[in-house]
Amino acid sequence: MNATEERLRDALEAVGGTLGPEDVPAPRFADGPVRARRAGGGLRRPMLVAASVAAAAAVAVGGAAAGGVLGAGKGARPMSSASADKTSPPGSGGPVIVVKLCARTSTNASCDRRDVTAAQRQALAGRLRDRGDVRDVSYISKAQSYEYSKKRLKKYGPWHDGPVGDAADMFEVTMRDGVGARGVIVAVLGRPGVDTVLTVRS
Amino acid sequence: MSAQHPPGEAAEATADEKAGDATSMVTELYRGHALGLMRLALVMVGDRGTAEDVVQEAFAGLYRRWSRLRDRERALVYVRSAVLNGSRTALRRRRRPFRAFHQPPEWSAEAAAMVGEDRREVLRALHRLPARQREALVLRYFCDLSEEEIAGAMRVSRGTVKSTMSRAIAALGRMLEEEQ
Repeated sequence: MNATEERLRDALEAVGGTLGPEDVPAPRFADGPVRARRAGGGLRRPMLVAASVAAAAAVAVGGAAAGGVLGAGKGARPMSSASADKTSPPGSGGPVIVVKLCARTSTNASCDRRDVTAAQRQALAGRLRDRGDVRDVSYISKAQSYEYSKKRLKKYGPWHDGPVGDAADMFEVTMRDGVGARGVIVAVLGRPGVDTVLTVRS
Repeated sequence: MSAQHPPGEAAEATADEKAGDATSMVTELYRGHALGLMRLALVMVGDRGTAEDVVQEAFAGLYRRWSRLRDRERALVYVRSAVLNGSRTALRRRRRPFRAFHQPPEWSAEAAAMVGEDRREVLRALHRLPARQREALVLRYFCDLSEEEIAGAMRVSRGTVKSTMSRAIAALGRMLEEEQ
């Protein structure tokens, strides 16, 4: 494979990898023609609704059997307070990254000046925790992130200079020993609710 | 003399059985391949919403035609072709070649370095190629399909696939060199 082919494969994989099993919706094939997505989307001419429901149920059950990859439960488990309070001490595990979540003060236009929703946060937590290359995921609340940023993210600029209310929720992700963080970064960047990703320890 | 269903009932039962067969078979296919096909549509059209619609419509088409499908072993080939056609139609309807992928408009220096301008450059170049060349490259380098499978999906001969891919990769290489 020459350099062009390698670059092409890498770029396509990076983009394709932004979709995960949890992004696959229930099938709508038995509902009739799929209307092109406009405001709110939806379907026209519903027919064979029973078949559609059966199909959706079959996929949901299959997903659950395969580890719930299509179910709403994935990643929705509450984060323990122990986990929430924890920040990995430097020196344990592999690389550490911080996934900064959207906040009203985020300058990233994709955040639309809104805080990350609970559903988005839980989906991200599930996605991170289910990865084999991740050793640990800690949730850092807005209140905790102010102190955390002051201590560990100083080199990235003035995140922590504003009032506590301007801080954002974050996930601190510790990779397994000997594993790079690139895969995780590519997987979360651009996902709903993600502002940016920083490498704390490479 | 055996008991017989009234003609209407028998016909109804047969229609139900056919619908049940189509539902379970297409659902099975969806379960196994929807994610891969959504990824394929995503790299072709550039946004998740359209990619999802394209895949749903492809499966809806398969479901509608299920009873008339001669070779059900080739159902995946059919649905993959439908995804490619649907992507092409979506791009044409949009009347602009390509929309940026899921990239936050403002990258931090770190994030930009990781996802990379390099990849965005490759994708921009890919989407400047003619549709058939782009499709051939995506099927080969993203879906890892053989020449024969690509020929099936694109409904062309193996020879055409070979020559299309060779022209496409050369053109892509030239575009990327020019960018540097």
